[in-house]
Amino acid sequence: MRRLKRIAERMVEGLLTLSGGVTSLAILLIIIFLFKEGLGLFNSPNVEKGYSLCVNSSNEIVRLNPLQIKNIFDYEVSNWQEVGGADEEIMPFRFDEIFSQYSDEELGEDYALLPQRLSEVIAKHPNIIAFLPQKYTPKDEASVKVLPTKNISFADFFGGKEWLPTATPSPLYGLLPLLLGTLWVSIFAILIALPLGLGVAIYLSELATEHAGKFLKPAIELLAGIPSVVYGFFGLVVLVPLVQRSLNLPVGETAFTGSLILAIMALPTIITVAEDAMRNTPRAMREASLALGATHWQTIYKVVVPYASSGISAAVVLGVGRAIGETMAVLMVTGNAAAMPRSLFESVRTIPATIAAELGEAPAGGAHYQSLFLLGCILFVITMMVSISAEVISKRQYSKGV
Amino acid sequence: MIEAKNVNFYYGNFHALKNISMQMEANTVTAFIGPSGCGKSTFLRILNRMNDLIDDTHLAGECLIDGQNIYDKSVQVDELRKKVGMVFQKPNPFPKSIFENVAYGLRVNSMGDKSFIAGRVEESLRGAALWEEVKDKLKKSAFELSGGQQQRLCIARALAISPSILLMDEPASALDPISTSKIEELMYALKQKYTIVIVTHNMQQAARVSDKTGFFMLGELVEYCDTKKMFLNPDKAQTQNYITGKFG
Repeated sequence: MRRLKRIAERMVEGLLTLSGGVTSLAILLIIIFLFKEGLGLFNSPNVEKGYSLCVNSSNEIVRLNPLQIKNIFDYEVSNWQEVGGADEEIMPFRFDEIFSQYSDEELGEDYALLPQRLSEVIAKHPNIIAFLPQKYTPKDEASVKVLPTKNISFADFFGGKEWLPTATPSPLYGLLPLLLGTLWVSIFAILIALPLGLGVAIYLSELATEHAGKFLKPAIELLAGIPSVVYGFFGLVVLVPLVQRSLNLPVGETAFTGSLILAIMALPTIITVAEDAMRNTPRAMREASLALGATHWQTIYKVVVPYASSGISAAVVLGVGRAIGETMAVLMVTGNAAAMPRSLFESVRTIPATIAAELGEAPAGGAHYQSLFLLGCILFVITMMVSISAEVISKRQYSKGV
Repeated sequence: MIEAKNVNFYYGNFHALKNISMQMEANTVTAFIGPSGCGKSTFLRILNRMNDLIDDTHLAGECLIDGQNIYDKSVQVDELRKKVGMVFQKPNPFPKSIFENVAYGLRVNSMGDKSFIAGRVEESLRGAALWEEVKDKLKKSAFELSGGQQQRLCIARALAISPSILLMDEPASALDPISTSKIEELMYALKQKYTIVIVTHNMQQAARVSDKTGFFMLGELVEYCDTKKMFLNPDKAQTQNYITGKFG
């Protein structure tokens, strides 16, 4: 009997250990997968896969970076001098233009003569830059120079100021506008939510009558249960027009609107966690303070709030975490312009919103797809840093007791 | 001087104190003894209105300190508590430095500038016989002190705002014998400047430190007289039974 019991206990122990192990392994695998997919971006060429850029062999240009290529094909840069070449006008040439210059007969059966024709075109124009499929790229080195492609670099990604993942011939994967958009929206959300949340938490734990607390607490907890898409819808229908009209803006879908909706969404978490922390301040602490002639208010801000500070910082972190990771609501109200944020009242786009909006149209395994995974990694690193710093802060306060 | 006139106290419907009338002279130590739940701590907490913090309680009768009814509407509770300090059963220092613990009462009542506070902190710590032990680590957390030191820190904290009355709710019950004897010696010294009221479960302690003793039972003040008389020749049989250990 006793043996059986011991074996059963062993089995339960083993099962618990196993489930712990499986969970940690799963988390580890997810992180490894995320980073493996994401870091693949740096093995992708900075010109669309399967294509190459060619110039006339007389052109002294050796290489172009993605931003320069994009500017050339957008006609924003029109002189070779601006990208380090001779003083000559640039003539961008896209592959399909060849069909308007030559008839099908001239291109030959199965386009067999296509490379030759392309070579002729390039030879004819010393100022040309042509974007061609590698399959038809002329091998004629006397007149055509193929620009070497480079892999996307860390600097392109982390220092890039433009996010244009579908641009041809050279997509731009600049993290900065998305990262700043995310931080911008989140920081203002916390700036709005924190004072408000702390205020409500103090009211609930210290001032509210039993009756008011009974009504307010469940109401606030209910707010936490509303799906984010509903918040987004509310934001789109109510907040966006409100912001637009009251601030007299061209569009209401701004970073500010996103911050407002995020603040509303982060409030229940902040309030509940902070209130619990303050309620857990021992009665002995309050009594000690009051017995020394402190008023109720002095007791709150000199004893209760400092005592609850680690709980309050936990509340802030949970709020920040929610704000940074929140996708749907922000996607719906911030306007989704992946541009560097300059003011609070312009459209921005956050990292999670970008992933949600673009993953559907990014071909699996491609550079765009990998770049979205890399965004996921960035998000993961940010939230991890936030929680680690919170841990450090609360631990320091606790051990010092000062 | 403290005077209670027909004090009745209720927790909801529970009649916790019944018709308590007594006087406590200035610069004496008065001890309250009695079995658990007899109302002695409740009565102590009436003297600095600490029971106000508990919901659904009320008081009838009068409680006067220096002739002023402390339950009068015109009385500011925080002013009253400045005059009537309190030391609790368990040491309850704030999670702050030793210095800041003692300075707390001075700061919240905005009493004096920096140098005044520094002087008063030292004076209070000396008054609580703790200065020699902590003078080199005033910036350290109060939690680094032993239980007995923490309790003396709490006494110093109460002394810092110069109350005239000091209430002590079983101040030594959580302490070892050596710390207890230090606290008792301290009470003897503090009597010169303060009126002390102490609640204790330890009858030897009451006999050692107090001038007068009140015996509470079931919410009533059974007997109140000089400590010597109480322990040698009490009037009531109940008192006799309690102090000789026949019940309680």
